[in-house]
Amino acid sequence: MTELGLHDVIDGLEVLICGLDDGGRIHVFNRSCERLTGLPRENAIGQSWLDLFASGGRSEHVVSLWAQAREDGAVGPFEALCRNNRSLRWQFSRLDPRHAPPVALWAVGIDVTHEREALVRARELQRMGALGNLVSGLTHELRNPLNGALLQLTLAQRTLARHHDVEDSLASVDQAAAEIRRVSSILDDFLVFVRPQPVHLERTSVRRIVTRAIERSAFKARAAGVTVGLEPGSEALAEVDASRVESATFHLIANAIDAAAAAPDHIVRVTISVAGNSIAIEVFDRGAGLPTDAPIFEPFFTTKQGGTGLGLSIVQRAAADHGGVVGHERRDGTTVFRLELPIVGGLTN
Amino acid sequence: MPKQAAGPSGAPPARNPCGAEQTAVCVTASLRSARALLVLQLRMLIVLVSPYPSERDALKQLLANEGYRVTAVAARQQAVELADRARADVVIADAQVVGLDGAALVGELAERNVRAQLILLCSRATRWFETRDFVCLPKPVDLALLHRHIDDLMADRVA
Repeated sequence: MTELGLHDVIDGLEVLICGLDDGGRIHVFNRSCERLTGLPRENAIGQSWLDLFASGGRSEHVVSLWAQAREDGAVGPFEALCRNNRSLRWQFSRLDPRHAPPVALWAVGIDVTHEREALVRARELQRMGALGNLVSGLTHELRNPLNGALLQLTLAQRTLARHHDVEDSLASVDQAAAEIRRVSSILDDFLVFVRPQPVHLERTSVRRIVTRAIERSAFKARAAGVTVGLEPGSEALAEVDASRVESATFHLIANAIDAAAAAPDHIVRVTISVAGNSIAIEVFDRGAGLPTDAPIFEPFFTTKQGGTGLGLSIVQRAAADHGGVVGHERRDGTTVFRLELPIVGGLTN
Repeated sequence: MPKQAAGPSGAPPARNPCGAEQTAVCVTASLRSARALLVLQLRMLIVLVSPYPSERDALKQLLANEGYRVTAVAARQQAVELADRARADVVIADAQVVGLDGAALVGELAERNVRAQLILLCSRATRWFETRDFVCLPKPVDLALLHRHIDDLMADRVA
């Protein structure tokens, strides 16, 4: 095969192919390499292969493999992290330089980034599954005594409420009951966070879902002296997992209640809007807002005393599992959280 | 009892026992407003079964204070025998004693031809849901939700 013919074949292959001289400089750089690196061939020729394809960690290991390939003729497969953070699996094959001078070594690779990511996800799911079982068992064990304690406190509340001059005692009992509800809510959050949940899409009224989320937050709103209102509108039908969207909306409203409790108006406003194939649930409050660039969607990040930092992670996961997004912005002194979901054909995990 | 689709925690979906939506809503609303009277008239019997003394005693007292007749026991077999003997209307059972699916208790009640409605209190659920055979409420129990379900059961019986 002529040199021109060889290069045509190399260019047509989906795998990454680099021809290197004895010093490790690139002399052949096929189109797959161009696509992956975004580097035109003319710019890549003459560059160090190690700098271009193995600079992202474990580079010493790759250098030793490189040296081995020069001695032994073939090494691999091995993985290296490219400059643009792609995971590549390579094999070195030594070639007599007389055959295609100055190329003395061929580096043949494939992009395994997706494979690596899938592996990491699978391991994460496995880890979360094990953690989920642990938390599920723990939650189960804790909820029984919590339920007994809360029922006993409720009984005490109602008994005390029939008597005069017991306001202080009643307030203490109320506070204890509120704390138990908070512990229960934290347990719920942990359970939802650590246990991977499948998405069950069904055509349903998003307005009804949001109404239920508002009802669920009623106790918290009352305790904080905040009014939560849903603006009028249509039923807004969409194919969503009602339970997941309700939970996500509840967390957005619960956060807004905390913020609105310190705001002058003590109001949380919720809207539902439809545009194209998307439906958006927006939650507004006139609280102090969030610190700029705070990693609010990171698990366990919280700006609230006593918060678990899991609520917005749960919202983000619900959005992603539906093929939607969640975001926030500050508009004229108002914090707006927006949960946007596809009306039809959302992704499922 | 006509069963509704499962739904998350919050208000149970509106029932429609009469077929005509408006009429049903009115009847149900009237029944709810007259709940205390109905409790007295029907003398609804609730059998409560829970292995946890704290939960059992407090819930028994809270329901009794609402006007219900309540008998509380610790074991499933006692509950079945009591429900059969006293013709219980509602059995509220901790999922711990009947199993998560409630199937065993449903089967035992059916064998004895007891038509009691079953409400499970479940520490593993995070939201309420309803199946053909029972309603499941998560712990800690939302008393308002529990009352609403009992009211619905009463409304269904009267309708």
